[in-house]
Amino acid sequence: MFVVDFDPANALGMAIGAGPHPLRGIGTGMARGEDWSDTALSTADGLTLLPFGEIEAGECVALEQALLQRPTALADQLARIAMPKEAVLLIDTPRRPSVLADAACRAADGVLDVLTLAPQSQAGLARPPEAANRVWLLNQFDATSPLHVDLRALYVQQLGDRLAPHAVHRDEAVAEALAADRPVLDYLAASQAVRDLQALARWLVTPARAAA
Amino acid sequence: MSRPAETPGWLQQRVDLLAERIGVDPRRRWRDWLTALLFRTRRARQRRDLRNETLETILGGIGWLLGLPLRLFERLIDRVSYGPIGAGLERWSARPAFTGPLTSVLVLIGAALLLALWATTPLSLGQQAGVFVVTWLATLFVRRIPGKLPTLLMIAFSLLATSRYVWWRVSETLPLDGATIEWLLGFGLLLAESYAWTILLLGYIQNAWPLDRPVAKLPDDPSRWPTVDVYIPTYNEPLSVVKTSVLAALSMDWPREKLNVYLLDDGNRDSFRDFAAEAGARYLRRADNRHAKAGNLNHALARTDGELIAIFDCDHVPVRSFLQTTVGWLLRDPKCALVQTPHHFFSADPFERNLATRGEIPNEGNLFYGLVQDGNDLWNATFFCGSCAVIRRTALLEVGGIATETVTEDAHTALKIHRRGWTSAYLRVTQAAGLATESLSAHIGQRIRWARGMAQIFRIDNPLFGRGLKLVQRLCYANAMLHFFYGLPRLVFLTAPLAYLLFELHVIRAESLMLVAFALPHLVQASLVNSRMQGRYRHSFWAEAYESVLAWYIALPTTMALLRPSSGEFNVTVKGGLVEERHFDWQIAAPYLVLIALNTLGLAMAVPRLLYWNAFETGTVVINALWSIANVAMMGTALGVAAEARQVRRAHRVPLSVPATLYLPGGRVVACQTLDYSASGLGLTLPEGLQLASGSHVHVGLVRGDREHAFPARVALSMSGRIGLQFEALSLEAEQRLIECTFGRADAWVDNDRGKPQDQPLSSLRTVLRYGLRGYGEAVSGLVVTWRARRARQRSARI
Repeated sequence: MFVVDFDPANALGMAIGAGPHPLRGIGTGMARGEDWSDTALSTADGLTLLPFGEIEAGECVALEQALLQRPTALADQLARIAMPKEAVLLIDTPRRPSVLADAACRAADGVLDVLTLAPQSQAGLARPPEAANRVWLLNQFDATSPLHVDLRALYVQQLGDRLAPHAVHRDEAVAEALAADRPVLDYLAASQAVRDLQALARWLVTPARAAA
Repeated sequence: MSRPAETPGWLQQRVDLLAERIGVDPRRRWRDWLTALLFRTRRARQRRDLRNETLETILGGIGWLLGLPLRLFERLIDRVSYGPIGAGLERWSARPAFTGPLTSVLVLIGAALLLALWATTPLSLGQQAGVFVVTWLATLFVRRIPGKLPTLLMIAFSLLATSRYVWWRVSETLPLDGATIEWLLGFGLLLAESYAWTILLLGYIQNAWPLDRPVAKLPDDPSRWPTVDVYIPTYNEPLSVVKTSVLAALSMDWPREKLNVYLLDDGNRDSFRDFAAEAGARYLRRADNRHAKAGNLNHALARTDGELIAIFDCDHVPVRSFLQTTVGWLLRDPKCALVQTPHHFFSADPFERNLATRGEIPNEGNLFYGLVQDGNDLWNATFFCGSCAVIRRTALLEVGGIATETVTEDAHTALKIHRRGWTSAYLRVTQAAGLATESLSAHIGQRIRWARGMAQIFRIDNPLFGRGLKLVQRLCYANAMLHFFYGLPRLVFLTAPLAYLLFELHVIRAESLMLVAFALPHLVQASLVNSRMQGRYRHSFWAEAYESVLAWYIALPTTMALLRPSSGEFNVTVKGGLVEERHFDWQIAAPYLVLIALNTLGLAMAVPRLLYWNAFETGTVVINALWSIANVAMMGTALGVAAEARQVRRAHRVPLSVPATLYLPGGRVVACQTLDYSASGLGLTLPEGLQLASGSHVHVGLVRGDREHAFPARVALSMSGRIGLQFEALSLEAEQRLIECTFGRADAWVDNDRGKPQDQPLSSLRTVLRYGLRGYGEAVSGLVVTWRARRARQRSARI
């Protein structure tokens, strides 16, 4: 299992327990033309994380321009990773519209679009679903809010089986775990959000879905 | 125990400990101690394990010893693998030579001739006994072979035994020397026995080959599905009961524009009208209450227009898949007028509650909905049971609506529909559930109504005659009705040995050994067949127990209905009540006590008869004494049922294990598992380490399909690892969602369709006898309680 943080916010390391803010990573490597293969970090759970690295605004713009000129640049870089055949590689991206996110989408076999339940996210869905490899996930769901229940029903109607069947619940335990700098699974195993994420993982790797 | 003040501490401690264990107040007098020590009443009241343990152990041990040789033999023959034999038998019987109508007729005639020859061949005592031993041993093998054919073979063996008994009984044992009292009683017993033989035979025909019909799939295109009216008639039931059914009916999976739910209120209650309007159901009421439920349904029939009509009693809650499960057959077969599904009760009926047999022993209704209706279905004789069914409007209109001539309008309507050539279907898939009758008296009231109604139909529209029915349809209907006439015959059997024991009347003119050699094969073989056919739906000897409870009450109404079918009015079954206090229902038990007293007296007389008066016919004394003992044991079960156990909750809990989401105050959200639910609450298991204080306010989320609904609730009960939630004021919409997530789940009652464990006749006999024994314990402790209450009343009256 490989995880790539392709977001200049560089926050994924904290969330999955690989330590805060690494200085170098795939982002800085691509921006500066350096080798990034030694920046990979391992977590206690056996994940391999490629961090983004601390990047300056100017460097970031340069990286974006490079990606605009050569959209397959990220795919080429990732192809260098020696992965077993059955391995899964997850890329975390900034919120779209974003050049980095588009580059990641182009490099990926499938895209998981996270819809955070808030009134403005509904606007994003007005566009018809694009590429066939794109699926959606509801985040921060709260069934005690009638609005959430209605919105979820609407999404189900619009997206059908391209919406992950398990919404991820809004759970204070997630925020507490982040604050305590601990993986949420260790922090509170009975958290509904953890159950949702586990179910999501199972859903993503079901053979039928993998084939599509 | 009045104790002196100087009791040493250690002794006092022991006394207190003992007092707590047997449940007596240590300051009470020695008499209370004695009753408590003897009967353990208080503690038993909590745990319901009152039993005379020593006696039970001794009797159980004797039974074990008696059964030992048989068990050893059975262990021996169990070494054979019977599966392949059954499969081979199926293949062999499927050969074309054995099918076809001509073959069937020839075989039937041949079999009848052979049976007549067999039954009338005179045999000596030894030969008769030998024949029995051979067929019985053969049956022990045959009953181990799976499949329906071995059942037929066992039926054949049973008919062999019974036919010989009948012929012998009629031709050789009647007291024919003039119109004496013996003659009268002898013929009375013969009539009662004839009834039993008839029911046995009809039962074989009816139950030999249950159809086990699968669900018919609906067309993929919902626009081809018919329009459905749902009728929910109510008269005096509380809104809380009716609400659940209406909301569940509204939630059934069916195109909105094709589903109309009608609340048919014979109680003219405005609160019901307002509820219906708010919930989206239609509401109908009428000026009078003529013909009760039947009239109510007919009133609605004239004012609605759906192609199909689904009918639910107001306390029957349908699951969401009810219509999609049932309507398929009505579409596939245009002549099909009726689809009936089982009535399932999620609360315990009085037998289950008072004997604490729920979940272990099939209840009274299991036989009918598990086997009889399925057997009827093969012969197109499934009948309408008033609820949980779908009827085609055109068929119903053709017979003039719901029948109003009798108090069992449902069965009569189905009979009329069948006479018109319509077909019917029975689906043994539980698609609705309701409340069982709460108390024994209400239960008996309901059975009296059924029995009276069936007797009325038998009298005014006898299924054996009249137009339109096939032979076996007639027999199935006749059995359904005749079945309710068991009252008088059962009373005859419960008193028959007294004729000899009390008055030395020989109502059966036969040598005792001959009687055993003829009657025993009949009884044993019949019981083996019924155990195999009914095993998962009615355990051996429970029919006798159920009948013993009801016989006295049913005997008179059925007889009256036969003589004057138009008399008497419709009585509504009372449901939703609560047995507040554990008590012994002396009024209901009075006839049982009389029968027990008579049989006990007979047994007492048996002693001098055996030793002095009738020492020349010891066999006769022994047989009659054994018969009386069996009667006393059966009536013990009746006493046990009359001891009404207290009902703890009004809202009955239904087990359910699905994921649930618990929203805690403060924003944490925890994944849990449900334990059970009721209309007003939910039980949850909590993850390790989580504690919730009683009284906390939470939300609990339940999933239905791709939706999650959260309901506000209060923690009513908190134990380690589990909590009980009480829902807080729910809006009508939330209530509907809640029902969708609980009672309305398509899989809510699947466990019910799996049936109970297969019957083992001997162990079932032990169980029934054990319950009989406990019944006496209950009666004695009931006596103590009643006596105490009376004394307390007298004392307070004196003050």
